[in-house]
Amino acid sequence: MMPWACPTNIKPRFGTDPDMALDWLLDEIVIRREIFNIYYFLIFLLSIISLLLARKVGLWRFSLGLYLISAAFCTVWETALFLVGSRHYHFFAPAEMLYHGLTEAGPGLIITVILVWKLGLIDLDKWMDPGFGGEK
Amino acid sequence: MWLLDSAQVNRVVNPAYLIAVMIFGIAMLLFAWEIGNKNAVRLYLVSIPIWLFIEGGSLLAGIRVYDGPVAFVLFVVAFMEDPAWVCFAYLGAERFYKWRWGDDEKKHT
Repeated sequence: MMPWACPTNIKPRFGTDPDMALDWLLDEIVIRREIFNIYYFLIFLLSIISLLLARKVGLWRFSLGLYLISAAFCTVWETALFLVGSRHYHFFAPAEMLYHGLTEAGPGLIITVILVWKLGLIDLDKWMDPGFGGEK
Repeated sequence: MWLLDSAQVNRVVNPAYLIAVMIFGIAMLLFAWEIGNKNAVRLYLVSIPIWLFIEGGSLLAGIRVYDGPVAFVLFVVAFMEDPAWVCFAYLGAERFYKWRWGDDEKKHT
């Protein structure tokens, strides 16, 4: 099935049984990621690269904030999903969950923010490290 | 080679969860707009095509699989969920910077 197509097995439930009218809200949807163990190494490398990049462009301090806040947010979100049984990992779930939370959000966010800043779409001059002011 | 062994990750959710995520996303954007933080609003908006590309590309490549209404899930993830946490983390980072280093410590040497 192409990704923009909707599955054909979903049937409208309105107008049948009033008690079932909102049942569709609890229909199961599985969001799956087909990855390999090497993904975790690549994400670790990306973490290092993003922090080095932040240091190079003078956004080290601000990027630390981006990393910490996004990692905390992602970890809380993932932990909540895991504890209610919505998140399923492949081998050692608690370790995967923690690694996922701590490494996945930060690097991508830092690189995105730096890219958008360099494109001139946002202004981060105020948040640059001492000694880097005005450089872009 | 064990590096190429599967490390499949699943998330089992439902439309109620996705609607809650939509509300969170819209609330995040409105909050950034309300406090007048242009950077946060722009980051939210710029994140949409970025995550549409990441999620859409992953779907086409088979790295991502949605067992459910694909268009709806893609819409929520790319337009609400990911831009919202980007926006949230940006606002949080500003707070963190102010808390840790303060506004007045900025020195251009």
